[in-house]
Parts: sequence; structure tokens; C-alpha cells
Amino acid sequence: MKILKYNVLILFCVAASITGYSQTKNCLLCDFKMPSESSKPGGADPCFDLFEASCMGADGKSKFQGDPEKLSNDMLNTVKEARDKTAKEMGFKNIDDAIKNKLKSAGIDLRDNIDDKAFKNLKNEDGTLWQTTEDSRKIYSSVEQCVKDEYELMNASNGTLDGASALKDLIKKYEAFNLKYHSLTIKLYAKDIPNFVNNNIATQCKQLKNSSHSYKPDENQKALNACENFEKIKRQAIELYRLEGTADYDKKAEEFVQKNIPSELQSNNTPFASKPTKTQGIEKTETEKLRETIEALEKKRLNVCPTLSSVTANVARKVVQDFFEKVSKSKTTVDSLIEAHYNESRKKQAALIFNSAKADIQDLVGAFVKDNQKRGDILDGYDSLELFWMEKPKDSAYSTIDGIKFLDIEKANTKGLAIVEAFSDPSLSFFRELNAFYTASGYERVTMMPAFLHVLEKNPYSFLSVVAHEVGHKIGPMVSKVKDYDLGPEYRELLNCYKDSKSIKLKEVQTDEVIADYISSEVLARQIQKLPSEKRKQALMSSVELYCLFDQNKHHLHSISCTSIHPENSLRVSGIYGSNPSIRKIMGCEKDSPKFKTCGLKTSILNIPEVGPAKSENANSKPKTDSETNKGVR
Amino acid sequence: MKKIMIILTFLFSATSTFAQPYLLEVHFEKNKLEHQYLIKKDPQKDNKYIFTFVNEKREIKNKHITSGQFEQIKNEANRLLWENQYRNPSSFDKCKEYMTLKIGNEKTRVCQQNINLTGKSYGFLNSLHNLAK
Repeated sequence: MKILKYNVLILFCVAASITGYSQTKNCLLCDFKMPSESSKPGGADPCFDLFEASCMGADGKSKFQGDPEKLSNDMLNTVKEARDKTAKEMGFKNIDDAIKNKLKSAGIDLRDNIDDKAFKNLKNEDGTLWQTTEDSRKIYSSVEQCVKDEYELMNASNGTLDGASALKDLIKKYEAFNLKYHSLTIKLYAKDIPNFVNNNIATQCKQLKNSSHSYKPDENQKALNACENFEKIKRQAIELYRLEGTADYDKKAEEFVQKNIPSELQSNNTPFASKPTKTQGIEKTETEKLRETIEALEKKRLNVCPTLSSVTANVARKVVQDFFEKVSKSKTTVDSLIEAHYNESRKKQAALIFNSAKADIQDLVGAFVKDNQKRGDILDGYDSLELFWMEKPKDSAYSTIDGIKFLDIEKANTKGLAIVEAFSDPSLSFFRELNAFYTASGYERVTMMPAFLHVLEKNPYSFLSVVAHEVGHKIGPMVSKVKDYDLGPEYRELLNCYKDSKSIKLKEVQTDEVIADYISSEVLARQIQKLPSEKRKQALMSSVELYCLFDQNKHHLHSISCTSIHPENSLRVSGIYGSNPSIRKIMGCEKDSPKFKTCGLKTSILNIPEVGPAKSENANSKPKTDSETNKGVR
Repeated sequence: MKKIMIILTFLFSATSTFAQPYLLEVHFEKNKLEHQYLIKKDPQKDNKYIFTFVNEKREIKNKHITSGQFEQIKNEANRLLWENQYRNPSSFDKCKEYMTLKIGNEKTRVCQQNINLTGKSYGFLNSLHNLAK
């Protein structure tokens, strides 16, 4: 059956070459609007330096300053809008109001004049949870108050303290201070039992074990007992942890913490640990004893606010993360985000571009893969390759809690887990990151994350180049090897060309990404050559715009262009796209690029027909249907 | 003599750097992607930790993080560890493991079948990946 199929394929290719390939039919890009940036005068001629022409203005500055930040904000705003809707459904004014209420319920009050940056950081609005750590004083009123109280206490202790009465007053102040914040800290520890056990009891036991010589057993009896019984205490903690969310959990957790909170270890070097009550045989005076007590309290005081600060920050993050996770799963959030990103017009356009890229790559495979078996496997494989498109889950995927519908992940477990992964992530990163990926195993597909669907509207040319890159991964060196149609030999010469010092000096680790870029450049060549010649340069510059958007040294939403496995952006644009012989041919550039060695598969250049200006009557030609898309290849 | 001292000092400091144990290890493996995130104390700098990212090509990227950042990552990891280890069914008929978490001596293997943890753990991994960039 397969042999018959390939004979038909060969016959079709021959027929196509006899009848001549019509470059003006099925013009995907003819109806697409060019983004305005590509019409701005560039820093160079695209034939000379495509990156400089596309990304830099004539003034030497980037044409796209501020665009990454704008995209990042746009994506965050849709997440915020979705969360606001859910917060309102829950009875709050908006998501910020909801967070403040949730924190308050957990015993954490935010300051009235809250530091905006710190609050954004708490809500993970900078894209990663740990890029910076907030200054707790700027956000939590208890920490701010602790620092103020501490300051007063220090002022009091620095004053003139004559007589036992004044010293006793100071001791009372110290004790009141310690007690106030100790109680508050215990309540907070109880909100996160795993970390109470790990950061307090386990850490102290480790300290005792590793430096046993530094601690006298009789002065650290409580800690030693806790360590001896650590496994028992941990089992109790686990039993308690399993009760989280039940009615009397908070009370039980506080009791557990109160009972098991370790006291400070007394080391041999601790000045107050075993001070003699006599100094050189003379009994200490009351004042001396009081001063020693103050010294001990002062030492304790040093840790009070830093401990409160770190425990508050940890619990606040847990509270916000837990709440965000809940909000992410609400039907209101799910529907709002899917509606915001996955509409019908985008779906139609994305599918059109995806199918067109697939067809062009199949065409390319037909030209350069000579082995019938390999070629057949690849072409068959491309038939089943899908573009992931998120659809609203059915009502049956939700469970109702307190009148609000939440995604029930047991019921919503769809193929590839995409819905579950996207909506049970508290930070909803799927809807914030600019990324696209090809999944080789399991449910084989290409996923263009929602930020790319924004790019699609503004610049479909860029969308095409990225889709083609991802679709191209299927015939990359690594995937082709895994899928048993190893194309390593077919790429050997091309990769050697890229390794050349006159080209991009390809590193071994970048092989797969460079081949995917090359495949993408071939798809662009095939599509752009269908445009009238006067539009081609602008179309090509529009197609590589994405690589202008992101500074690879910054940490914006650009994991797609990270430099470890991708070459640097200017090398990708000028050294791969700008030096592709098919592209140079259709652009009317000199055969050899002046800056980079021209690299391409020889067979693919031969298959690109000689081009003349496309006729404008074909500019509005009807797009291919899915079935038509694949026909032309075989 | 001075030279010998310098060499010895260098050797000692190099040995102490390598001897630092990892305080946190996260191993992720799915769809031929294999990422490792490791954190250890920087013995040369107070309050600094070394965050290491190893990608599928075994390329290594190191960066410094503060003790505050380390605490937050460790706390988040520990919550995931407990949730995987103690809250959900402790075993699955089939386990397609995609993440291993190791904090000190405690280790947990997260299975794809534990769908209660999928989104949260992907959010965690995503944040680690962003931090590595």
C-alpha cells in the first residue's frame, strides 16, 4: 500500500514540474496587513543585513522600543480582568480587595499606604515568584509595627537607667515586646505546618547533630528531646496537615506549634548561658543580675522582627498562591481567558497559517528527502500534526462550591492535560508567557501560547515564521532520529555550512533550533514569493520582527529566544533567514550575502521557481482548504 | 613557600566549594526535556546561594540568589513535597514521573497521575525556569 502511495507521489511531483508551479495561487500573505514598523526606514538594506533592516531604525535605535513591555502588560491585564470578574462573583470589589481580605483572615494586615512594587511582587506580577524579595516592612503592618516597637525599645534601653526600678520597667517592656510578637509568629507558623516542621524543628536538629560539641546537653534539653522524638512529632504534623481546611484546624495547628516551637539553642559561646552568679567570689548585686537579664532579652530581641518578617512573607505568599489557584479554576476565569484569547476569527487565521506552513514543509520534504520510506513516514506524520486550540470545557467539567463553579480537574482531564495545567497554575503563566512549542511525544502538536495569538493579530507574518519554526521541529535532527526517520545525513552539509566562521559559527547544542529556523525561512521564501515583488522586502522584514522585539539579555517573556540553545537574534535573522538562498533569490538580492555565508539545502533552491512580479489579480485568491493544502504536496 | 601557601589556599577553597551539599534539587523530565535546578550555599559569600540550571544538553548556568530568594523557593518546594507525599493518595497504579524534588534528605517523585498537583508544580517549574534566564 505504501509503495503504491509513493509511486503516486513521484508521479505527482513529475506532473507538477511539467505543468509548472504557479507561485501566485493560494497566496496566504496577500490578504495580510503589514505591521507599521516594517515600513519605517531601516538601518540597512535587507539584502545586506536583514536584522539591521528589520529591527533598527535609520537613527540606529530599535524600532520596537517599549513593545515587549506593552505585550507583557496586555497579557497581564487580561489575567487581571479575569481574576477581577471572579473576585466580584465571590463578593469582593476586585482581586486586590479579595487578596487583602484573604490575608486579613489569615492574620496578616497590609499597610494602608502599601508599596505598589512590593504588592505587585507578592501577586507575582513580574513573571517569576522569586526575581526579587519584597521588603516586608513596606507591605505588612505587623512587620512595620514590630520595627517601630523595636526602635522604641532600643531607645529605652539606651537611655539612662539608674536603679533597679528602671531596669525592671525595661525588662517588662522587653517581655511585652517578645510576647506580643511571639504570639503573632506562632499564629503564622500554624498556617504552614510543613515549613514550621522543616524550618524550625528539623533545622535545629540538624544544627545540634552537626555541631554537637558546641551545645551543652543540660542547657538544650527541650531541643534534644524534640530531636529524639522528631519522627513522632512529624507524624503528628502530617496527621494535622491532612486536616487543613476543616473547622477546628487553626486551633489544633496553633496548639501544635505552641507545644513544639523550639527554644533558642544555648551554645557554649552564648555569654548568658551559664554565667556564674558570683563574680570573682563576690555575690552579684540585684542591678547586675537585672542587667544580665536585659542582656539576654536584648539578644532574643534581635531575632524577633526578622523572624516575624520572614514568616509573614512566607505565609502571605502561601495565602495568595492558594487563593490564586482557586480563582484560576473558577468558571468565570476560565471562560474569560478563553474568550479573550481564543476567538473564532483568530482560530480561522491561525489554522490557515498552520496548514499552509505544514503544506510548504511537506513540499520541502518532497524535494530534499530522497529515501521513499523516510519521506513517506514524514508526510504521513504531518497529516496528523495538530495546532493546539483551547476550547471552553463542558459544564460537566465543573463542580459547584458555595454557588461558584470551579473546574474539577478529575472531570476536566482532557487530552494532553493542557486545560488542567493551564488553569490549576496559580500564576496562570500559560496566559502570560510569549512562547510556542512543538510536542513530539504523546499528543503530538504545536502550541502557540496566547501571547502569540496577540502577535497574530498585529503581525501574522511573524506568526507564520514562528509556526513554521515549530512545525519544522518535526523534521529536525533530534526529532527525526527519535521518530526513526533520521535526517542527520540530509542536513550534514547544511550544518557544516552554518558551522563555518563566515556563517553563524553554529554550536552543537543549537543544531535543532537552527534547522527549525532554516525550515521556517524556507516556508517564508515559498509564501513571500507569491507576493508582488515590491511587497516582498517589507513582508520579509515583518516576518522576522519577533526577533527584534526581545532583548535576549533581559528577562521578559521571551523564552523562545533564550540564547543557550538559540543563536543570538541578529545571527538568526541575518545569518539564517537573510542568508537563505531561496529568500535571497525571491528578494532579488545578490546570490551571496555580504555579511554571512549563504547556507541552504541545494535541492530546495532548485524547487523554488524563478520568480517575477506576482500578478495583482491573484492577491485576493481564495485560501486553500485543509484538504487542498495537502493535495499539492503529493 | 608563599607560592605553596597560595596553592594550598586555592585548593582548600576549591575543595570547600565543591564539597557544599545541594540544599535543594529539582529534576524535571518530560517529552525529551530534562531540566535540573540545584541550589547550594556559596561558601565564599555570606547570605548568597548558588542557583544552578542544567538543561537537556547538559549545559550549566549558575547564578547567585539571596538567602531571601532561597528561603522562598525552599518553602514553596517543601509545600509541594508535603502535598505530594502526604496529602494525596500515596501511590498510583501507574506513575509517569515528571518531577523529583529533594530537600535535604527528603525526596519525593511527582507523577503525572497526581493531577491535583499538575498546575501548581508547572507554575513552580516555570518560575524556576524564569529565574534561570
